Amino acid sequence: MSQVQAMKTQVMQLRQEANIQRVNVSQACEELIKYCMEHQKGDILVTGISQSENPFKENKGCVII
Amino acid sequence: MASDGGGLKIDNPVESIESLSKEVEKLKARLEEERQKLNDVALSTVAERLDPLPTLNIKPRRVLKGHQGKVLCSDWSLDKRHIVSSSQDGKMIIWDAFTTNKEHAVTMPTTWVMACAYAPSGNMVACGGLDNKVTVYPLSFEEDVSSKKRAIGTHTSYMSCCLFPNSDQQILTGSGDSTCALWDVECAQLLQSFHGHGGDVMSLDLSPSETGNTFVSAGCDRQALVWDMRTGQCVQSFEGHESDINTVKFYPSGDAIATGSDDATCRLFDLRADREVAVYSKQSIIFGVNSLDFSISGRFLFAGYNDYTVNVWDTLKCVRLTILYGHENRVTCLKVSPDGTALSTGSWDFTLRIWA
Repeated sequence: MSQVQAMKTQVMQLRQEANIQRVNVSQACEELIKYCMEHQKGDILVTGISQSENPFKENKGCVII
Repeated sequence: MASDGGGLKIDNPVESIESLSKEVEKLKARLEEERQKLNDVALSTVAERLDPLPTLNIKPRRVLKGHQGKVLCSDWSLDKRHIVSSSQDGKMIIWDAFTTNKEHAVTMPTTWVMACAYAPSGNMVACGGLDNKVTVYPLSFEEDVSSKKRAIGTHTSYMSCCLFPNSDQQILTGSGDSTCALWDVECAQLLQSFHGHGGDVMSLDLSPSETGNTFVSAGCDRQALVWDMRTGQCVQSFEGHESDINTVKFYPSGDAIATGSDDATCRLFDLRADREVAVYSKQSIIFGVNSLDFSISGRFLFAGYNDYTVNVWDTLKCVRLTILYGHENRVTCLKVSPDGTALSTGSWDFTLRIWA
């Protein structure tokens, strides 16, 4: 692609981006927070996992047998 | 604005590089101005009202040893148990992360296997690196995995990242040749290429939104670009980092992306606000970020650094919560397991670790 062609593409790209619809940062942040709050109860790294359910906990039970 | 959006024909012969440069500068300034207008508050301020998080209670649970070189990439199988990893020594290993057993070890015809990915079915993996190729390996215990390998696509420079978008039928790759590409696995054909980066592409992520036709790429041109996979068009671009971007990941809602860079910061860019909404940095953190991922709600942002640590950030309050120590060299890859219960990390210290 020639330099002129590449720059024309860039101009078109920027025009397109300049015309997109935007929301206020405050609104965007509220929506990010809302998603997180709705899913936090199911986020085991946040809530903690009961050790009996943790497949990666160390196996110590069998040594006696 | 209609005149701007509509008249896209710029084939006037007097159109010179100079006038095009001016136009680019003007549009960039306008973009910045439009974005700035809506920048009414910081994410950390909005999140002040939230309760602080309880202490993160995870420990190192497994160490996966077997690579004889730097671990460069890893990926979880959707079964939440198997992990594929690739290394500088040219090996790709399939691990049972529960038992730490190696189920397959494949020697690639190249060193620096920089990218690997598990197919959604769990029956296939893809990898590549300095060979410029993406190769798939169907996994089976009946015969040697290498005997079934198939080269799917070739870039003109190294392949730095790959993923299967939604099915085993397609692979998306990013490359040092500044492009991304979508390949058909069955026919080993290029379906779409994505041009727009001005430097090596280092990382890719697929949007978790239901349509699944959007992905993001980022790289050495310090930009993160959002793409429409069907048309090959770049739909949004984000700048702000002061050095190479090494890693990019969608926020779980699909409405934002997080990036990690050699400039020692992570950043959050919101797609609808069309701008940066948070920076994760501290004066004491001076080393680059290689890899990052979110917990499944998005609340924790885990980031692997060149100073051998994993920093855990509160995504919303934008504060660092804790540091995970364990690796003895750079942390290069980091992935939360598909069910969100565990974290895997890989390092230049030749090991992978599972935290849960």
